[in-house]
Amino acid sequence: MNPSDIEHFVAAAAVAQGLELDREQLKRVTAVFARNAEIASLVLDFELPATVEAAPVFTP
Amino acid sequence: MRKALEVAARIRAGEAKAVEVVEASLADIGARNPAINCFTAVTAARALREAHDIDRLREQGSNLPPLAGVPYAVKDLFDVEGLATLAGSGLRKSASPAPRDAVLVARMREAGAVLVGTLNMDAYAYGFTTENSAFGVTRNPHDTSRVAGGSSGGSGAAVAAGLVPLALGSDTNGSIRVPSSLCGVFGLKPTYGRLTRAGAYPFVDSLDHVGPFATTTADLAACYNVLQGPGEGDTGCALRPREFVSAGIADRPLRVARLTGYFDRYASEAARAASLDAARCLGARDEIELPEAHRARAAAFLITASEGGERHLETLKACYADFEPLSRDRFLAGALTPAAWYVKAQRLRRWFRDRVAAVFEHYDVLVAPATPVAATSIGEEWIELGGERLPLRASMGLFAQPISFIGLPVVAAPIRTPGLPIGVQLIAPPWREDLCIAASAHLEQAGVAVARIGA
Repeated sequence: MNPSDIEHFVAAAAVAQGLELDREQLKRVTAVFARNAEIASLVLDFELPATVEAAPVFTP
Repeated sequence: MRKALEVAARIRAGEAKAVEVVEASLADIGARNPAINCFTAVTAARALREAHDIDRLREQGSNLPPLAGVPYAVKDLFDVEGLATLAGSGLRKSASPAPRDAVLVARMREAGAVLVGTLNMDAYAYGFTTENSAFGVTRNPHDTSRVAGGSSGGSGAAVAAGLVPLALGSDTNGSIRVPSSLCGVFGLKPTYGRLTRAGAYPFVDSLDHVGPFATTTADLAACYNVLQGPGEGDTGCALRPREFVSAGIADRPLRVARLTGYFDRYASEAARAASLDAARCLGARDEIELPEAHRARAAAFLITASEGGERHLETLKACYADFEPLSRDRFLAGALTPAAWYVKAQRLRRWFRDRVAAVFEHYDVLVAPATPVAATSIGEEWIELGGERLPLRASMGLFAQPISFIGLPVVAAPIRTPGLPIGVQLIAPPWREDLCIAASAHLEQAGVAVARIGA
């Protein structure tokens, strides 16, 4: 994602969550989210076998 | 007042009264806490009441419990009956008082320990420095211009200052191990699910652990033993019997390896030297790399951001202006994490667990630095590690995060160094706290690990 995409995503996701971010807040949250996205790429770029399931196990 | 078992032995032998010990501890806290700022509340009335109960038991000739009369304090996220559980947040000052003690606080009381107060932390446990805008920064007792580590910084500092011989903390990504390292004391992060978190304010359910701090391995083991028990009130607690540990060295040579690769790349010279000293003393036979440790750390980071953000989303919507400024934007960004990122991180967790389990077929204990550097200056924002400029408050847990990500038991042991304190992680397979305790005892008996009690 380029910086502009990230800002658009953060703005749209904030609306979806019911968050009202002013211009300054949006700028700061976008900066944090950009760093999170960079860290996330280490996880997302790593290919896992389809058989590896998510760790949480729901107990009914 | 540095060693819990020695205090308990003196009280048991009638060489000291619990009330005298507790009065001395309270006076010490009153005199020295202002310079360190590790306590958020001092529970003097309760402490004196509990101490009187211990003295009465002794006068009646009853057997005293194992930690009889030992003062201790808890991170301010454990419920203490009658106090608001602050969890490091100014917003919680008006929370209702806890109706009862957290289960681990109740177990400490049953073991005879005497609660003298609650301890400072990063707001909602999201941080590694205990720089708290509502309750002030907790200073490192060995150099008050530096941080104590976090998020259980008050716990590490209170033990390192000698104000209490034992403290309880929590560890989601390193919050017991980081302050243990920076303050020069022993800390135990047990296996995920070993100790109940009932009555402890949550941060990240998938990753939250609770555990003790102490000045010796023997005290750490004794405290851990009394904390074990059924996991009622915590769905993450495993159904396992109590498995008591002793602080004796192992009855056979431990198979030890030192972690390199990722763990060397981001280590300062002091951190690397500490892990080399510990590995040499333990007779480590190999140096190995954990597969994809950097991705494991990244996945732990994402899970933390996402679960932590979701937990506080409604508070952030309602009270953004009053929320801790050092972490509110991180919580908000975390709440916006796409679900696919979170699920992939959880899947990586399962994958990484299986790879590390294979490593433990060959080793009993793995050694790695607990922190990349020793205590940094208060207010510092950035740090250079491995040639990269990184945000300091998120990076102190670089070495702790891949390990707690898969719930392994770890003792953080303080290594004897000429400079500021720094510790190593002694990492064992799941449910084998006995092995990391044995490794810690070995280092301590050899004089390689020693708690530093100062200021």
